[in-house]
Amino acid sequence: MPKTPPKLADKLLRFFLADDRLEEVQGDLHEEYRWQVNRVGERRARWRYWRDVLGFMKPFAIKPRQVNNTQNYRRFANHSITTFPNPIMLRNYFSIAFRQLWKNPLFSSLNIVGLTVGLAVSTFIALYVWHEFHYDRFEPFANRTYRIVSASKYGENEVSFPQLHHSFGSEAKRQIPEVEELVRFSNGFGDVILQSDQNHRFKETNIGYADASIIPVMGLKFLYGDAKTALSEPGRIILTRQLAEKYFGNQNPVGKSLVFDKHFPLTVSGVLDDLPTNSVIQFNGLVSLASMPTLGDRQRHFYESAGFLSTFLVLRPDARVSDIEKKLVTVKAGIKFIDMSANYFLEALPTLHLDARGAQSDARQSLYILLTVALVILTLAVINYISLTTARATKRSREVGIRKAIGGQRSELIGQFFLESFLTTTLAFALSLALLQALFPWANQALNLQMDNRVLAQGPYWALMLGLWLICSLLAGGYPALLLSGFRPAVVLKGSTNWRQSGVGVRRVFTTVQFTASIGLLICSLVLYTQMRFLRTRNLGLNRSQVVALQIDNEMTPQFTGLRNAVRQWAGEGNVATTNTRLFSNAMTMFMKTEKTKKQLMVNAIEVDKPFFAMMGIQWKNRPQGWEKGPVTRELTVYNQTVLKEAGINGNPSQQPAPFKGQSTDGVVVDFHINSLHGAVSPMMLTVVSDTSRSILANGGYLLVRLNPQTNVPDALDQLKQLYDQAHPTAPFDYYFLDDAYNKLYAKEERLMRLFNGFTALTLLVACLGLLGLMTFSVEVRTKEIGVRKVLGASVTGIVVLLSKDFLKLVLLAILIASPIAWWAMNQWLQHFAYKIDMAWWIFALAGGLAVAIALLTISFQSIKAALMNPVKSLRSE
Amino acid sequence: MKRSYLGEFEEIVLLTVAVLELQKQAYGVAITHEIIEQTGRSVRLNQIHAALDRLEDKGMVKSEMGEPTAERGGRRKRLFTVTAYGRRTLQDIQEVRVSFWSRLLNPLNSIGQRDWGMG
Repeated sequence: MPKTPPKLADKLLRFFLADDRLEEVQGDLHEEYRWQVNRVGERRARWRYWRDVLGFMKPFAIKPRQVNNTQNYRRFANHSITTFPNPIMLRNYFSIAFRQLWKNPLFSSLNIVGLTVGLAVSTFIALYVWHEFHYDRFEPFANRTYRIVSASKYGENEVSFPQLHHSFGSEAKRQIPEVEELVRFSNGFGDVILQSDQNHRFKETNIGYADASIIPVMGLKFLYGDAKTALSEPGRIILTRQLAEKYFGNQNPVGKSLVFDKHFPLTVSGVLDDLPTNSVIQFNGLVSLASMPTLGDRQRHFYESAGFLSTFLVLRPDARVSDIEKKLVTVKAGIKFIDMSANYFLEALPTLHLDARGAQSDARQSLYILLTVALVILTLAVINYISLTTARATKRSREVGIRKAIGGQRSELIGQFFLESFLTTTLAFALSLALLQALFPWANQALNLQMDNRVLAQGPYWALMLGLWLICSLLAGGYPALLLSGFRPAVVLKGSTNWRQSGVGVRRVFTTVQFTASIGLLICSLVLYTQMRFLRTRNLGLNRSQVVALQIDNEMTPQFTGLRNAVRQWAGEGNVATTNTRLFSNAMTMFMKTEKTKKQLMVNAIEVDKPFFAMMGIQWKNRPQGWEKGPVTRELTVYNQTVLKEAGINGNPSQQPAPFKGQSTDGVVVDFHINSLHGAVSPMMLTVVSDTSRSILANGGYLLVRLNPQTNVPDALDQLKQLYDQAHPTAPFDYYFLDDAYNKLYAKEERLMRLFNGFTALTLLVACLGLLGLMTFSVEVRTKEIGVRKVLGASVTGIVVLLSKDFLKLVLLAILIASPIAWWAMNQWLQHFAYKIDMAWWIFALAGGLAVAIALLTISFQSIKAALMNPVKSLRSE
Repeated sequence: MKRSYLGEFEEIVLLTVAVLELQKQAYGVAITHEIIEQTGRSVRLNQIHAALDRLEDKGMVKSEMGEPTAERGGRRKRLFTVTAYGRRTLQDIQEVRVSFWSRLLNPLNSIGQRDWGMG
């Protein structure tokens, strides 16, 4: 007997009835069916069943149950979880974020300014470092272009010469089949006078020489002229755009004539676009190397006898560098000017800038230091943002509580706070981008960096910015988002004060880190400054103040005596001297072996006239015989004390054999410096020549004129120029001051000092912004406490001390951490100098004092305001 | 006195629930049979379900699922209980009726009281 109700009716029921009613209704229907079967029989029960099922086709039964008991509530909640990028909620987040920014202008601007400055500066540094690390990658054959370096032993020290004689390169190319292409390049020998017409006659530097192959190998880009033929024949010169505009204006100068070194006309065969700044090959103009012997005696002499050419080889792709290096040793046999002991090495073109032999070994190190500083600044800026945001965040705990209470999920809150930091960082990013674009040329100039504007248009720059933006947004948003979204709604809505403590410890650590960094940098800046002042004011053994060095061309030998006499008359007999050396820039160096101690010495050899010693204030140790009696009639050889010490000569030198073989010792002077104080005084040999000597001007010389301290310098220079012009000069009037030249020796340190000053100011600024924010917040939170204290009789001073104490403790801790680190770092740096200061305690005390003073000043504004507030106001507000 | 309106049929269903919940029998079929038995009306299952739904909306009954039984094909019953609010509503209705009935049975009593009071 089938006791089951009609299946079709059941199907129908299942179809229309709400799912959550099915079980009970069907159950009731089945139970009723059984009962009816027993009462009225199966057939009528089936009829009734159908009628009952159809009876449920009513709106109430079709709708799901809407009853608030716990079981169903959960089901309801699960159905209503919002997918995160819910457009309505997103709009709400945006408007809340903007309202937050708008409502707290102080905090928003502190946040954004801090981030903007930090980002702009660290990006700038990162750009510079990137620029430095990406030298010479753009050339078409950069990966197989090598420079030849010869290394020879002189005594114990190996000296490498990256410049070679012209024949070496051509022989190497002829004899080694793996060499595909040869480029010989020199950026010239000091100044050259160029002239296009009467009005355009200037002294130029970096007018170089090169093979025609430099154009394809270095990938030089032409604005005018034919790249294929530009340097293919002698007598051709290519100019950079800047130089071409200087001489020919905006017109196309190709085919025009340019007179080289007063006598030698060259044809302009091309104009180059600005050279990339990230290349070791830098020049203002290039003369075809083949024409060099025809450009006068001096150039011919250089060409024939000097090693002056950077020699680059482009190797075949399959060539092995070590094999070629071995072959280069055999090449030298076939040519003139050989040093049999020399070894040859190949250095890849991209490595030349930072890793070449003989390059400054600290180049890489200082880049890493810069990168570290950039990271520190970025970290400080992000930390600043985080600590300000979390401090503010506690103010928003109620919002978090309410959002959670009405069903906001934690993930949604995290999303919201991330969105807010994304907004802020994006704003800061846009600003820093603008700042960077606007200040890029200025910053380059102020810091004396050679960096191209073009860097800003390159992919890596934008990739860097994008990466920084993402990382900053994530880092800056992460902690606040997690902290804030973790608030328990019951706790924060009850108004318990516990939540105010959240993140306080972290913020303390942040503030300490910020101040440690800024105090450390402050100490570094102070040490740099003290060392620089020490270098500038140290007695060099030679009086360099108010001395003008007037450059005398080698072709002016006939007029020179007349000019000198005129200058002597004008400036006074004792104020004029002659030398062949550009003091404080580069002195000729010779390798000489001492007779007694058999030491190889690198000796600075300079030629001077007799008045040089008295005029420059150089002290004698042993005066030459008959020095006071009259003018010098023969060449005298004078050494400095260092030579005698190295040569092992004690006592009266004139009664002992000379330090070097074949030389006499006519006198000895007390040590004086003509180079930077990075090194100790080098051994020096001074040749004193008579007034009539011509050898002193063989390669050009310098007339040193000491100006009277009271003289108006521009007037004096004008008068000097008049005297010079009357002597029918062969070169334009050119001079330099010894003081300036000496200071230029420390250009690198000067730049470092400026950078550090900038960084110090910046980190202090960021740290102070952070401190100001924290102080403002701390005062806000404690308004009531301060009110109560005032009512109970606390003094203004007492409250200011109370508020400042916490932060000052952190600053003091920062001083303790920063001092040893800075001491260690600066001690390393000072090792570069042979003459250095001691880091005295007062430097640290001063830095600490400054930091404390600045911190106090920052917080005093808020703390005094809080302390002066009328307690009636602060206690009334509830 | 303010209370939500309770229809006559709803009142009967509510009363039936109140009676049957003691034996844990306050579910659709049982309520239907009880009402048929007591009132003699022909009541259908869907009407009872609809009334219970309305009562639950008004908060006068609450429900939970009971144990499954064999005669229902292993399906559970929804067992109803009267809430405190429902119980008070029933009492209010009863009181109103009682007060009217007492006045109907002793008409002089209530009027006389008032007159005497006035006088």
